[in-house]
Amino acid sequence: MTTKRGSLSIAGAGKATGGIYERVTISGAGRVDGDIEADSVEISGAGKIVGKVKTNRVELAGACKIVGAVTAQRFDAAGAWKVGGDVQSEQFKAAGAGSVEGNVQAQEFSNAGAMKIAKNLRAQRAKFGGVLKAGGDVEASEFRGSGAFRIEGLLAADQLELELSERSWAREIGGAKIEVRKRESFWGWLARWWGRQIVLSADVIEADEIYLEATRAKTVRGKRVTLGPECRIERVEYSESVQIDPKSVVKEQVRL
Amino acid sequence: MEEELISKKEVLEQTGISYGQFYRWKREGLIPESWFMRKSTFTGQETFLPKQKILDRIEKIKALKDTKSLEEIAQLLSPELKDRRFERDEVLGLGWLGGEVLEYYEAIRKESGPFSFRELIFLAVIETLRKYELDPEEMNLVISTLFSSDFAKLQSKEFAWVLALVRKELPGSFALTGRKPYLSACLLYTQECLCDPQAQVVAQIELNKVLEDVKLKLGAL
Repeated sequence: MTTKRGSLSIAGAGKATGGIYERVTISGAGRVDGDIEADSVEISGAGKIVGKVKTNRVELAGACKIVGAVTAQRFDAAGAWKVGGDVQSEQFKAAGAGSVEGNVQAQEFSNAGAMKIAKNLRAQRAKFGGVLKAGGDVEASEFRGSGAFRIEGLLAADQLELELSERSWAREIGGAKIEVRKRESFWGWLARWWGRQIVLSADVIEADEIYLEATRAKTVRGKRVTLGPECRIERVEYSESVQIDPKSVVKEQVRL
Repeated sequence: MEEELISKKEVLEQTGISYGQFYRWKREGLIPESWFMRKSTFTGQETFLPKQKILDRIEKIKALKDTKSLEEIAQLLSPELKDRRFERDEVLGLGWLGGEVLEYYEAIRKESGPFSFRELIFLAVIETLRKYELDPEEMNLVISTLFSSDFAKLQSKEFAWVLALVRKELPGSFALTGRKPYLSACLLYTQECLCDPQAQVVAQIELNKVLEDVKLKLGAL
């Protein structure tokens, strides 16, 4: 970029219009109307951008909001942030209670805290700790998570490693290798005391290699299926081998 | 012309691919999202796909996957068009178009010389139609239909259009040959098309297949 562009900085309750900038910094309750193209965009506090954002680096902290779509190399967010459109970023790192009202597409996705994606998440590598919610599908080549999730559509990954401590749900789970383990937490312990043991529920779980604990599913289908303790499965379909823990219940077993 | 469906489970059984491969290919866009349909069965909800399409697609991916990356295959299979022009010799060098087809097309177009990718598809359609016995007027009908079609619209539906040629006999017959006169029409439709019983479908071509073929053949260059 050869032309030197100005920077935009709002501190306090200022207002500005979108455009092409070098750096955009909003601290306090600033507001920008219109699309922004900039090297970096930083919002801290209750800032708001009403428009699309295209940049190398986005940093959000606090209760800030971007109403349009975000395209960035790096996306860093913390606090109670919100994006109204799709987020497309090489690196996506979020903490706190974030929400995206569109799709998220990233190479590296990592989230700590409670995050909600209204549509699909697509990533190369995805990692989460805490609670992840998605209204659509979640697809990655590697997916690791601890905590809980609620995915309304398909959760698919080549490598899927989940360590769940709270109740989680996905309509369908698929991939090459799926591993679901139950982690004892205080709440989990309490729930167990209350008589609830299941941590994961799904309609269908399919993979070449499957290991499950504390899972309830209608169908589990795979090459090699191993069920650890506390599973309730209506139908297990396997092509090579199956192993079932005595503390698990399977209604029907079919060799394909 | 209702499409026959196949469950995802049967797809894996019939093709011998692994679950991992299936989900990976889906993620990489090799299997279009629009093919996935959820239906209730006695074992609960199952995913179904259009049988012929998915089996063809998996065969294609299997044939390509050792020499090409998944990304390259996705490009070959996507409905996006290449933005480049092809010289006459280059097109003939591909070896799948007869010289007569090119000449015929050039006669209609009234100029020779470089062809766009879009025109290559038209040429491939003509080539495919050669095996049906069409009248020259019918061939012209097909070409003018393709020419006047809104290409952006064709692409927006993943190119899932069918081109069909329909004949309908008229009353009476020619005195000399005894042949019955008929009226021809060229149709371009997505999904399904039902004709009246007297109409005869002479030729039917799936455009996305033609597109895939052209891309594969170009990819082999």
